[in-house]
Amino acid sequence: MHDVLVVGGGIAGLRAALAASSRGAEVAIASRSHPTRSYSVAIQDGLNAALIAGDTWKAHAADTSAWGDGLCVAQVVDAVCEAAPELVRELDQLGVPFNRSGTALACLQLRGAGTARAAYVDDMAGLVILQTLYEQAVRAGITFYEEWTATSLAVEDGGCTGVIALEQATGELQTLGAKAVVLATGGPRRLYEPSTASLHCTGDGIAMAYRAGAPLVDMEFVQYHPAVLKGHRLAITEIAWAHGAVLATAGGTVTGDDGAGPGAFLRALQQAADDGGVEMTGAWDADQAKGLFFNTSHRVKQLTGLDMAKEPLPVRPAMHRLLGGIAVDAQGATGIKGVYAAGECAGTGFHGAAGLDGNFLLSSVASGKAAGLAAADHASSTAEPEEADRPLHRDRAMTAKALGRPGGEPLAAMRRELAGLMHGKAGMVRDAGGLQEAARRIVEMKETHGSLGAGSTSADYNFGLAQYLDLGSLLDVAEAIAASALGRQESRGVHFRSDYAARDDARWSVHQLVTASEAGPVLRESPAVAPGG
Amino acid sequence: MELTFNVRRGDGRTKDATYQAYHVDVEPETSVFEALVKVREEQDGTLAFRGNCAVGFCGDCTMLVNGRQEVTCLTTVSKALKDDAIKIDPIPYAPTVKDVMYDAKRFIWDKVNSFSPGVVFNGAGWGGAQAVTDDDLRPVRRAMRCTMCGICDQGCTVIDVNLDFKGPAALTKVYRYVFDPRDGRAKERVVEAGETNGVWDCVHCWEASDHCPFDIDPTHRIMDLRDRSVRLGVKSGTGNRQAARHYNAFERSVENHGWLDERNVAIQSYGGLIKGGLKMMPTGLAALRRGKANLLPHPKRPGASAIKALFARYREVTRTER
Repeated sequence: MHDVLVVGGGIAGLRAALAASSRGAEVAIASRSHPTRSYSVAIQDGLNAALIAGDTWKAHAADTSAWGDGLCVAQVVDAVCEAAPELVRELDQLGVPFNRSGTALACLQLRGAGTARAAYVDDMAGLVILQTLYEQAVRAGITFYEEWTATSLAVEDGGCTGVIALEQATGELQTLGAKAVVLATGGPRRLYEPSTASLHCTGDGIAMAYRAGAPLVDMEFVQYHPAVLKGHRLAITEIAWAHGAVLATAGGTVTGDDGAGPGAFLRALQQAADDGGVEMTGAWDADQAKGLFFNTSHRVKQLTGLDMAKEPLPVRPAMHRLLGGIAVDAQGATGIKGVYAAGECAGTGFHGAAGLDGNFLLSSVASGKAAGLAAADHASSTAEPEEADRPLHRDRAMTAKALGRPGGEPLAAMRRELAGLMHGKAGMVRDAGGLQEAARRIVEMKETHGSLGAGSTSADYNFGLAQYLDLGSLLDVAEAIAASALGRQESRGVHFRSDYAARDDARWSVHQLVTASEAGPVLRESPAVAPGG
Repeated sequence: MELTFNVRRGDGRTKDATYQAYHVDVEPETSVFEALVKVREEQDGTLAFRGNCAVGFCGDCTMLVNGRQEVTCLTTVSKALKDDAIKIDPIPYAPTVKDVMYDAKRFIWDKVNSFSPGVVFNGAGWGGAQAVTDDDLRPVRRAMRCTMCGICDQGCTVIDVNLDFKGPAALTKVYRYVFDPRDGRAKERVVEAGETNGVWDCVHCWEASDHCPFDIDPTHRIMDLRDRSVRLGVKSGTGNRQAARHYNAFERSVENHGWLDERNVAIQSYGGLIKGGLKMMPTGLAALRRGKANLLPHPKRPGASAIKALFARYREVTRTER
């Protein structure tokens, strides 16, 4: 039995593992792929922190709250923005070669920031931070369960004793026992098309917590990335914006949010993309494209043949990020004792109703560290619990059944339909009719999903089984998103209801917590995001 | 567009691999990786290959595409297509696990993690007296573009004959530490890198640099490591004295003769006149028989004294630097 088991090997998970290890806890990480293959690797922009002379964490907090459109949790925003410079310094000392200006740290001004505030690593902050944290995790002697897929939290009588996970190489399900669990499993991007999703962005950790009874929060806030290479999943780096990228539409050019807020800006872009297409251009020279955007421009060239330094790129908005997630307090504690959450799967209240570029990576690092420390403290004050048998038997029975049932094309078709449904009815523009239709259809899909399975009885590397389990997770998360979006009868941040187009502070300065029940999702309003709030 | 994938199927390294044909309809700009995911999701959930991010950062989707090693998510089907079909194999230098999935643990990670991992911070952050500059960090960032896609190792002519050679990917990781001015372990690291199967086993064929998709120029990074190593007074690992002997013999030969005295370099590299002489005896006798060698003293190069003076000058300059 481990002291702390982290599920997910991305930036939040590795940061949590290092934090827990620094407190003396014995730590293991279970991840679906090798840690450095996690989605975090594809993040290109940087981390916001008040590091430049004249900037203050209070200014950073003010920008964050303004962008978050009145729904950020002030206490969390203050704590994260105040800690941000130290969090960046820690990363630098762990070995992240952040860009310098002379001998000082260099910062870029990303959209929504009042000043240059984002520490960056060329256009590959995610890749380099992930690699660096992995180096340190190996150095710290952390145990790795690579290519293990978590299926459930081992929860019995209200307490968690670890995680049920499938070893992909053998098809064996086992309980990975732990005194404390940190979920750092990422977002549910595969729920939408178009999106920036990696294959593993299936919201599986969110679904695991939801099924185990933990409340989710702020699930209606789904943020699109403004400029993703058309026909692909590659987001054009936010660093390009900091260097004067311009989006050209048939109706003119747009460069930022024009003061109307990020939601309105994204909707205008979506409309333009549907109408006649959007192109990104910039006054970059070849050296900049080779230096600052080497990683992006190289990949653009590979995929399209286009030269970012000379030619306009066809782009369109694509679903990028869920702002809510598993409801957690400032230490990352979820509604289940001994279970913590960090990174994109956690609803911390930091982003509010719209997330600022450069705050996502920061949030992963901040929430990862906080959850890791809290999990280690929990483990050190907890006696070794007796391992629960029932969750393992339940999951073994479930997968055994799934192995005997048909899968493949019907599952693929269902995910295609679901992704279209979510984009169309629960995407940037929503209304009651569309959301009710989506919710109804999700119930039907869940029913059908229950009669399908892996499509083969293959034991090792059964991707059909993974596909079946992933779709189950996506449907659970979809249900929570649709219910939350239907519940919030106003427009705020990236949540836009065409039937309630105005922001309504008197009625809706609250968060919605959503819990699973036999009868479907149950909503509860709360002034706080924390599960007990 | 409709196309056919012919995908290698089967467990492990069977000599007579079978190929399974899958027909799929995708857009021409779809990547080979996304098209294969579509095949797996719609037609065959048992088809084993890795890959996650789909945008060329995670490095997990490397395969042979029509015989060429590619990051498959950055290769469009229209580019890959040959006679309406695409043949998919696992990269051949690595052991195969299943279908086109290779053993990344054996091929990459065990090698990477055999070197002491993680920067050990020496106090040189930003600001303050010890602060490092962007010029110091730029080469580190270039090396850290590495996604561990394994393509340089797949091009490596040494790994082709010796799977245990650490290879350009793992050595580029060592470079990242040794050239990071914030790390305080450069000397210990070059000793580690100098052991058998490390930097000195590279044959500088430059294939790694030709293969790297991200312009990291890994062969050059290995040469940089050797150079830094010697500057730090380390000519090989502790268990690999032969590399240092070879280095010294090479240096002495050029210094004293103006060029290479292959006979003596070989004898010295293998441990000196007695041990090395005995070891080289059969080769030497065979060479003598065939007229490829003689027993006369090795002649000096014309102008050898000028070359010797260069060495003296170099020693003088580096002494001052120290």
